[in-house]
Amino acid sequence: MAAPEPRDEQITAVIVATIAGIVAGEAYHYTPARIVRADFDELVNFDSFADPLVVIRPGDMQNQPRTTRGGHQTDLEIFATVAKRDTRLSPTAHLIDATSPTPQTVRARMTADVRKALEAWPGWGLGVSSVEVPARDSDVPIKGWCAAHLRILITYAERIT
Amino acid sequence: MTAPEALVVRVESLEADMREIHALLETLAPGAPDPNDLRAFALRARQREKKEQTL
Repeated sequence: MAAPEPRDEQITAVIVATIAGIVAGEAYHYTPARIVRADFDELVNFDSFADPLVVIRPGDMQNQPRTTRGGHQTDLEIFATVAKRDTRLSPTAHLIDATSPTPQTVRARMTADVRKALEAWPGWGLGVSSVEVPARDSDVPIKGWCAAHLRILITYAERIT
Repeated sequence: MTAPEALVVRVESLEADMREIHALLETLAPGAPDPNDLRAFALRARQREKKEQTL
């Protein structure tokens, strides 16, 4: 039997699956067309993917000291870049047509979708005690795209035997 | 040149370097975000978190 994947890998896989489960409708704004995993520094050509696109990248992982019970708490950081093609007919379309969302609105919607899916998902398990999306960077210049970086923080307890 | 003037020149030079790097990346990897943007975001977020924990 193969060894189980490390806990941080299992949690990352759950995050990918949870974001993949987002469906536009009453609860969410956009259905992600593609979710890809990449290294932190890896150059990902957004133009080669369908949108909306979510790129998941690893961050830092910090273990707290062991408790007397032999387990320890871990803080895991994961980055997600949410992106949607800028389909406005002109850069000022939202000024002329009030129904045309601004890039800021698109970024806010994508962020809200991911945050809602991750923070409200009831099936955590895997020792996870909290999932937060505490920071967003909206200054992500990619020609032809509306994009934002999100920082996801997961705290979980693990017993190493 | 005074120290503040030298600093302005240095900052302008760094900004020019960054513009060059962005232009180069756009040529080498069009449609790809600059990894330095993510790195800077990560650093800012971690620093803010440390500051909040200290307060």
